[in-house]
Amino acid sequence: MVRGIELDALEVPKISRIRNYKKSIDAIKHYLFLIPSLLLVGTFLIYPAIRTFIISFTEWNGVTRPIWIGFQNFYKLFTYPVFRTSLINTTYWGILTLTLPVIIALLLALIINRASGGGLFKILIFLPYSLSAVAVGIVWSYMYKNVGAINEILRLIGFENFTHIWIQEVPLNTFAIINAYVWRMVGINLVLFLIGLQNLPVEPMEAAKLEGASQWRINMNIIIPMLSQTTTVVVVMAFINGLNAFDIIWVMTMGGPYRSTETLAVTMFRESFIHFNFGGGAAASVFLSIIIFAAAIFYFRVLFKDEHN
Amino acid sequence: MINNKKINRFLITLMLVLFIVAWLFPIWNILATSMKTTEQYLTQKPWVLPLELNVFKQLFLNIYKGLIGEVEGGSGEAVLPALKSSLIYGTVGAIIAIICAALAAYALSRLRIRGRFFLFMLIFSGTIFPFQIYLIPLFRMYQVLEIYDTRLGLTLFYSAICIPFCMLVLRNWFNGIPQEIIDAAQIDGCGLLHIFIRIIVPLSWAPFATLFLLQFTWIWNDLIFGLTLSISREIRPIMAVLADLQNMKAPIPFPVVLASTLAGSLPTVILVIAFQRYFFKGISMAVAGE
Repeated sequence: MVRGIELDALEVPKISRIRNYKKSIDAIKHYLFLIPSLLLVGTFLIYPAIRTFIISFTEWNGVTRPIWIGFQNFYKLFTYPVFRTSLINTTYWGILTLTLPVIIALLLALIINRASGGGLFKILIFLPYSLSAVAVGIVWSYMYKNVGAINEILRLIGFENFTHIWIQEVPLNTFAIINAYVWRMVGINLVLFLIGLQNLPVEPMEAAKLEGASQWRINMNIIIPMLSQTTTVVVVMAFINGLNAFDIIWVMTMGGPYRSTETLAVTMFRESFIHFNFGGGAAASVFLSIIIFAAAIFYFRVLFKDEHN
Repeated sequence: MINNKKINRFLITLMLVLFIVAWLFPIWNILATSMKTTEQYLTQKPWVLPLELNVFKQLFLNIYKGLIGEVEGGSGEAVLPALKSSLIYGTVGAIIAIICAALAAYALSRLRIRGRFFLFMLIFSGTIFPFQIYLIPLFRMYQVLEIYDTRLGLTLFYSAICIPFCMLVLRNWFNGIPQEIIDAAQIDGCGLLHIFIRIIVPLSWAPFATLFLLQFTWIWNDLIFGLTLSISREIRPIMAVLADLQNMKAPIPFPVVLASTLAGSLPTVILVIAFQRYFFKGISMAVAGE
């Protein structure tokens, strides 16, 4: 310490260099905190994502060297019949998961918000979501069996002609799976809507009530417009989750029979890990990413709009 | 007028109750079927509860059969090792993720870092992609690194994929901690790590607990990465094994499959119901980014 003071008195420029050196060591220390996260995320997420992008332009079976084929994988994605089924199913999934779970959840939220015992109803409707998608798939596979509950009820009330083998017959099977998916997802949307409803100011509704407006009109003209922020968030999340749905399809049909229930998320898995067409699988996942990116950008714009206000 | 209102309320509640009964009917179905012997399953309607006193005994017997894989005509598919594996992945994965994310969030929120926004987006970009985009290179990488089908490999991946969301939530939380406390500690001569451990961590147990619940549940319920990164019974997580049971051509009695599903779902269902407040808070954090 004493020597330090001596040096300080003797040679000012040298000391400042030492200080700078010390400062930069300090600065590096700050960055060290980021290393574990960057290492894990970089190795297991970012690197594979970039790599997949490159693979999508190649023909590769995992054994021989990959061959660069440009956009051919993407071209096949839009022209081969198998992939076309997958694209059509993905469209069904996108449209139906964007609307059904949202509308059902919104209706339920509006009712539950004013009903007594709302908390209990909320948790009971939420219950399916607390099951995993795999468990829900197994539950509904059982419902849809030939001797499952749905067919048995139909027989019981005399609609024997309406019984089906729900997850075998095309195109019923895709909708049967979507139905199971909706059953699981309504709960989470309901929770989000209820949070949104509780954050709304009460004055406009009370004013409308004093004016003698019916509950229906209050819902349609005041509550739903004020909820638009929550609704947008829920819709976009529902859309992204719907396109990503893999577990429930895999458990119920593995995309079959004859690849009739595949969506892009399943096609990617099957092409890659069953047919070892890694290039095609990568192309399917890149295409899926692009759609989801577009939705995500929309989502963030809505969120940022909120922050500006 | 008041009477009218009361009748209205009653009708709404009644409708809700009926709706809930229909809503939970599928769950009732698997509960009832899990309590049956194979013979009862083949002869009775799915929703009928066998009229015997030993239904719970049969339920436990079915769960037990599923757990140890001792099934007549089955191929010895035991669920118990998978439960153990998933417990490890969920616990260790969530804890590693929270520790890494907390360190990163601390740096991004409080320390002198250049390119703060870029680094934030770099880590956060891990959650934007659909999961499918990681699979092929991961599968190859795991074989090259010889961590394919190992507990280490799955734990590392689950840690990595949980980091971005934890980092987002914790950064917001740390931003809310008053700077004066940190300044005071700095004046007392505390180092960066010291401040983190002695001041930031004790103030953050609430988000840590919420994140642990959410991430544990997420890992427990994951299927696609378990399918891709592992193959053997001892390593595969619970959901991958349940999917195998369901898709298997071998004739496992359905009541046993359903009982195994119940056993595999129960841990997270109990967590969700017991800590519902934290879950709902966590969900709104996840979606609204609050």
